Amino acid sequence: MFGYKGKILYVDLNSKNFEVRGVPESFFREYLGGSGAASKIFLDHYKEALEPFSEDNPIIIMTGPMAGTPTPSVSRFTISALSPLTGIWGESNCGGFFAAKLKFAGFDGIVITGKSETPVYLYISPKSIAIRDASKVWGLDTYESEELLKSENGADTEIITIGPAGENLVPFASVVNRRGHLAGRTGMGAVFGSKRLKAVVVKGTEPVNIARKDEYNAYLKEILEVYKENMTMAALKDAGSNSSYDLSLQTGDLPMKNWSKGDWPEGELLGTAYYKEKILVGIETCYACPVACKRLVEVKEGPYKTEKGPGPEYETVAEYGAMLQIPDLEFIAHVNNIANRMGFDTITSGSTIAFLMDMYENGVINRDFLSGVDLKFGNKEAVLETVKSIAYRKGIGELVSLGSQKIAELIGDRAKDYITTVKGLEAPMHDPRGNFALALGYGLSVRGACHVSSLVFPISSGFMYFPEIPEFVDFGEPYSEEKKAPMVVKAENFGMFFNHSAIWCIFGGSALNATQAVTLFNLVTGFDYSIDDLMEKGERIWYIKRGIDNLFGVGSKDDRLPKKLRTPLSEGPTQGLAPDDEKMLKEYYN
Amino acid sequence: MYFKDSEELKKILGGFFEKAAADKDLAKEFAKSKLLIRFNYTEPELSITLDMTDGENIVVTYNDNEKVPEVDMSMKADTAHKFWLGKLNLTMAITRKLMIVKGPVPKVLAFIPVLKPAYQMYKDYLKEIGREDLIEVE
Repeated sequence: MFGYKGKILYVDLNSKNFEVRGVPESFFREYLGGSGAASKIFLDHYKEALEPFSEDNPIIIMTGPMAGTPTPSVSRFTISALSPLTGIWGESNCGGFFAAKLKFAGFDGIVITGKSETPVYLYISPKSIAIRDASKVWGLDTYESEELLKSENGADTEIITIGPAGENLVPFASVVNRRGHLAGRTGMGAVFGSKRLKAVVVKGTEPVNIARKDEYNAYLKEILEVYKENMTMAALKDAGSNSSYDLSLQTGDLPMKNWSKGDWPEGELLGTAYYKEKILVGIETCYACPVACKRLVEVKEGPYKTEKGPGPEYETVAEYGAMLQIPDLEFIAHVNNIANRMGFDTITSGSTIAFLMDMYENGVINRDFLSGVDLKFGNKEAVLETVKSIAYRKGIGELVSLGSQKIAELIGDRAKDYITTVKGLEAPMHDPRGNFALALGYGLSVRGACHVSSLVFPISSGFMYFPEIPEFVDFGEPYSEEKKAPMVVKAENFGMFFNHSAIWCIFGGSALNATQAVTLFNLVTGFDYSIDDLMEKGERIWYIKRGIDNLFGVGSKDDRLPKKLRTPLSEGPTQGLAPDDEKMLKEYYN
Repeated sequence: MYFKDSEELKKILGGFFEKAAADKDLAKEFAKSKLLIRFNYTEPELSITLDMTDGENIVVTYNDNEKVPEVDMSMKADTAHKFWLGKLNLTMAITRKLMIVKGPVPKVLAFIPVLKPAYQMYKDYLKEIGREDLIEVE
């Protein structure tokens, strides 16, 4: 088999047994890899009354066929399971170096069921598979855990680990590789924690076989030239994911003050120039990615002194900056470091804090509800106290660790005006009031409000372009509902191939057009798919995922945006605008 | 085409840059970039060079082949007009090659934040010269 390894490791933490199962090529021809393959595996494991923390909830870690090859921006993996945050399909994908190493160890993926009575970690190499005692690392944060596991297993290992947030079942806990590469969303770290699985350690050097190697090598040279000439790649290389911040601020893409403000002059202090001046000390990359968009930061002195380590991405800058009204990059770097070490998602945590601040300032909740913390917009010390308490679920951390949806259930109807979730997942930091396609994309997203659940966001915001697909060329004006439904359908279908199953990074992958992506996929796998073929496969995967949501009681009635995201702003670039999601949904379902 | 010929383009878009250059505070803000940038317009044809290398002022020249720009941006005049009205998705324009940028990306990125006041200023300027008809564009 080419690209794929043809093997998935099944682990049962109840019996501590494992089984290596061969996977026929026909499976990958249909489900492609990544979360496409994971969705089928999940469906096969489905049982009535499955709960996120029940032993039968499978953790499905899957790579794509190009992980471990020199193909740029595609050595990624997905983690899928029933989400403890939303109660529906959960998935999160991640770059770093783990996916390539898992392929080098001889596996396309790992499926983990059962629950261990004591903390364990999984060790995988081509020669040995073992479930090992993790009592020494249980309780350690993600940096400490990775360091200790590496010292025990060798510097040539790659590790994904959870931190205290995952151990304590925070429903938005993440899984972390090399400190700064996070499978952040939908709480996959908590599912690890529920199984008392601290980490997965992989080791191996078996190369990934490429079907048409000579042709691939020649084509790869052309592709690397494409990367060199692409302006978005240059911007990412220069300033990371926060390179889009200044434009987001100017165009109304950036949500502010829990989505209630359209203008914030101090917001300029979080832009690219300040990031470089205040906190940047280096750059890092993912496996085989020439873009190198990851940032290294350090705060050398002052109240937010922070060790050298992975820097905040755009989403974190937007959440802890614009949403909470804190124009201080040193503070945000400090908070980011805590979230990475503790292992939790900065989007859900930031949005949940903003949601509470909004309700507190509007008298819906009082200070007692917040365990005495004066959680007002801009109050750095209150935010810091909150962030420090999330992973251990103490004081206000107990409340915030529930996530927005469960807090809203405690409060009742009055919370509806302030919450920013779709299907229980907090919306990320791109405002659909300036981009109506995104409104439809958020609503329909399988895992809840999400900008990477399909290709709607990268295409509608303009940094990705597939001229071969007519619906992606002309999809109307950004502030109009016209032509959005057909574009969104195609973005879902092609996205299931592109960034879900092949698992291209939406940033690094955006250098390519559709033909280039499909050509690389075919050269590696030996398949002979067309764009239309992969659209068809993608459509099936989309329906499987939507079908899984249906099994847990979520359907088309839940495809609506929350009131906050449909309320026009009284100022700023998108003043007076709001998407009519009902109108677009009607067209979509027709 | 929003501009009937090069002369009109020079009068309107060139006039806008000259107005920005005459506003000392705005010019200083722009000139923090210390950029030498050239806009090459087609349909109609004109090139406008903004020399901000002294860090204080904007010097506007037309069809200037002597100065060597650090950043070179090529686009149709209509694309430029939409951009200064704040009605162009800059990222999309670059990705789709409606705007071709040559030069160091860090310099271009650093220039973006200072543009914010210019969008409203361009609209005000069009009203001032009696060209409100150019404000509403598709």
